[in-house]
Amino acid sequence: MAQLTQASALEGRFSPARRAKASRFVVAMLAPSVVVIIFVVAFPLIYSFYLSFTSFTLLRPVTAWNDFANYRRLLQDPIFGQAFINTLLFMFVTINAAFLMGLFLSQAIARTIRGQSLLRTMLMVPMMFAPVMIGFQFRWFFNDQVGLVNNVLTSLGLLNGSIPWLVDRWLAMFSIGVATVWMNTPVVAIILLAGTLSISPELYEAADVDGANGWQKFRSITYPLLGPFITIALTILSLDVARGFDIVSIMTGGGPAHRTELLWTYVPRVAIQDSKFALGAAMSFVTVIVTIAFTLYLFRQLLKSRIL
Amino acid sequence: MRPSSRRRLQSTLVDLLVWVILIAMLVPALWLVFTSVRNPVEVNAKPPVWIPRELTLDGFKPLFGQSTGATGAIPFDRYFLNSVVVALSSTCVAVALGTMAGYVFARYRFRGKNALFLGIMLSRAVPGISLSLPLFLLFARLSQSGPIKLIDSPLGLIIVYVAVNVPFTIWLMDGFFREIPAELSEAAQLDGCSEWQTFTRINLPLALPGLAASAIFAFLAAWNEFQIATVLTRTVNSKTAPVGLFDFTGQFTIDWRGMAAMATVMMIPAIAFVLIVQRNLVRGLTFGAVK
Amino acid sequence: MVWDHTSFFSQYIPFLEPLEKYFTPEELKDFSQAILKSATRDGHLWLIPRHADISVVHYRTDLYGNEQYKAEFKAKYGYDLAPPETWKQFFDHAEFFTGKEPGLLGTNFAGKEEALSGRFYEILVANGGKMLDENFKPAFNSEAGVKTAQFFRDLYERKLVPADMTSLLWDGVANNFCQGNIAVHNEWFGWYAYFQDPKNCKVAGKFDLIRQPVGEGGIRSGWAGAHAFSIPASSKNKEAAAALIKFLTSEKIMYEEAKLGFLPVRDSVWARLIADAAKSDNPLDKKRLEIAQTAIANDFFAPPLIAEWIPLTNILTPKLQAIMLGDIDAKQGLDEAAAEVEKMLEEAGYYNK
Repeated sequence: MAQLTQASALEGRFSPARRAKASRFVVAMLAPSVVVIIFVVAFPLIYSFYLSFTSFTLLRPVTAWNDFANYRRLLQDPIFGQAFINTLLFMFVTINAAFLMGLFLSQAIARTIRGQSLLRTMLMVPMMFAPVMIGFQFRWFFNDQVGLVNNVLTSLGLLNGSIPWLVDRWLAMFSIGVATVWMNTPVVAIILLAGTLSISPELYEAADVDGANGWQKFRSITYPLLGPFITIALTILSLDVARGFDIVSIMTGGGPAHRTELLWTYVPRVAIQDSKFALGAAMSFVTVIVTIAFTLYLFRQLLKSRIL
Repeated sequence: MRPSSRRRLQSTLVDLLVWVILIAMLVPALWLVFTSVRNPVEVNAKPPVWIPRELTLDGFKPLFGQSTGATGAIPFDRYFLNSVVVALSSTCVAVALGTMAGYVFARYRFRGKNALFLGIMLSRAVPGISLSLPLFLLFARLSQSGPIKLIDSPLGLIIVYVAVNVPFTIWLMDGFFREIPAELSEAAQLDGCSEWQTFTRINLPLALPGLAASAIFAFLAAWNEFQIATVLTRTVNSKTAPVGLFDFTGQFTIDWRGMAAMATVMMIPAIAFVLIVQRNLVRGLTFGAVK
Repeated sequence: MVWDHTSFFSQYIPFLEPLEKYFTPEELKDFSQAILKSATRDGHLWLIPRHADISVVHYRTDLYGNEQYKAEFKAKYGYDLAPPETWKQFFDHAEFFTGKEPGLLGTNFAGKEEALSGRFYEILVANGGKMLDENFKPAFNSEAGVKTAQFFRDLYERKLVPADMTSLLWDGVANNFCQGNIAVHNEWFGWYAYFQDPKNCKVAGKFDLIRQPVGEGGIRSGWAGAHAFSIPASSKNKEAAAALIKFLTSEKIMYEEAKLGFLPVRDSVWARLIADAAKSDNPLDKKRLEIAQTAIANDFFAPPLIAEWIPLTNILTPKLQAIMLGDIDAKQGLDEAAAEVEKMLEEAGYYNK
């Protein structure tokens, strides 16, 4: 951590002794976080990166170099390719849907006067659910025979027979998408709500004087000022959607016939059930790179707006 | 129609729509509670039974040491206790560490700062599936060779959850401390406060809403985490409630009602925690998340 | 001492202790021989069974006993409607009953994960096929295999099973039967108490059991497995572990467990249970046990004894689903699965000798 010792407190207005103290302070304040992240994230990643070049399995822990065999194999694996494309598509759609939904809710709640705190509490309910339970609950909702969705549609007279939600490729993707959006909308809505409430009411009053309508006010005041909040909301969303393993693995498990296979369902199956740990490590490494590239893109926007 | 009354109608419609959406968002939670108090024959009935015809608390029996026809008693008290211990302590530690680091990121300049910040944030982007297995192997090795047991122990989970929750806390707190005028700190230092005192006495008290916001996110993440917990825990010594939910799945069966009952009980601490700290949440986020 | 299962123990053999030195032939005599056979590999006994399960056909007596249906069936298919003796009849019955009453479907099978491959396996055996040949080469893409896969596809395409069958597991199919939506159903014995409880199920008192149907190979086969105990090779006190296993699988304990609904694996316990059940008001209680005992003795087919059984099902099940859903033709799908399975087993070192 040599780079940290060059700390300079408050623009070097103090004596060298004071500055030395300050740099010790900086190191001491950062060290615990850095150490724990290295221990829990960096270490295992490096370890699995190393194993991804071997033929290691849980039952036969061989750690000899195998000449990129795992990487060559995953490039040839059509299911991996399918899962890869599905994952990108799934992330793109659910992130946008959850974002738009959250944006709408935040704007609508921000302008209500009565019952705002009740609405806010209701909004947070999905956050209190364990994702595992969301998976079970939505799997049941979309069940063909006894599920709530088909039952409601039938009772309303909109449906005769039943829709096999979790079988058809697009319907199944839609179903797991609904569950994912449901889980992730509240965070976006709350962050954007906070952002909207932080905007000075005077700006809106001025716009009212100019005779602006609701949409114009949103376009020219709210949306630009929400910029940093939107970046954060999108970033958190992309991380959380990418962690939605629990939901998808319980709802469809990637099936039927690999139709809803995502990297999160495929990789653990390869690594644990098929006990091809090293191949799984290689696949999960590709996953990490994709997620990080995605996040990095959003972060660049964010870092631009930071004064560092 | 005059413009003002059209506007009023419009805004009533939007209000209505919001209530409809939010109530729709509550449906899964309500249905879960309904399921937990139903007679089992209604749970998967076809045609459906919308409102429970008779209420029964039998579904809660396995949680409190009694068995039902579908499930034997499960050690829910242990799971619950593990969850409380793991979630609360990892939240406290993550918030403490994240606040310290966030403060430094907001107030000090040093070489490699941007890269370090980016590195820490990106660590959160690593999906659980990429971590859980190598973590298991490493923890297993450490547990074999050292006196500290990290597999099947709350300590192992706490360490993991701290690492998972620290980045977001740093981020929120960094933004938050930026909003506190630096002049306050400078004045304090000129008055002879040390770096640490400037942090704890001047900045920290002003940052409390930010702490609350971070705590909510950290607590909920730890309370509901399943993927890593399922790999690192084995027995009642460390199994947390989300992992314990699977006690209601047998080789062939799912005791859906029992599971709903347990999930209902699991939501109570989450709701309590959120209600206690949520007053500060919006304020905390407002200051904390920008810039 | 560890809990184990006949379907899964193979992958742990490197870590297990052979058991024949701790148990005399005299002690083992009372155990079901078919199960001991499926617990033996490479000439060593690895498991002591605790309780077993096997598939058995459940059919609705209210439907099969309905005189009007009987007449209609006879007119349409040219033979009498009676509980299915063959898989062909099973299919006819499923076809006949589908839609006969509102919401009624012919049958259903657990349609994903290991479950689907297992169901495929037992009908494959009945049709005279094999999962793997004696050299561990995949053999399920044989003519019998294609017929079996086509059986599932026909059921699905003609909508004789739930449209979301590919997302149903044991609880899902059992619930469909329980709710009265299924006419004839291949199921485990273990569900009996649940189905007979009117608090849970609409079919309580309205169903009967019959041994697994015969396939085109003239074989009556039930996918079967036993929960069992084994001793880890690393165990410090193997004698004590063996003593504990002897206690837990003793006649007395097994009898107590069997009263909870588990199927026992000792002949002496069977005798006692059947004697008890003879006193029950419901004659099916006794009949069930007799069928189970016969089935375990004669129809017990455990999946191939290889460590890669679950990875094998991870290859086979998605292909079977694709065949059912019409994404791929039966022969081609099985050929592709066989090629993948062969590759996997080759990498696992099966063909090196």
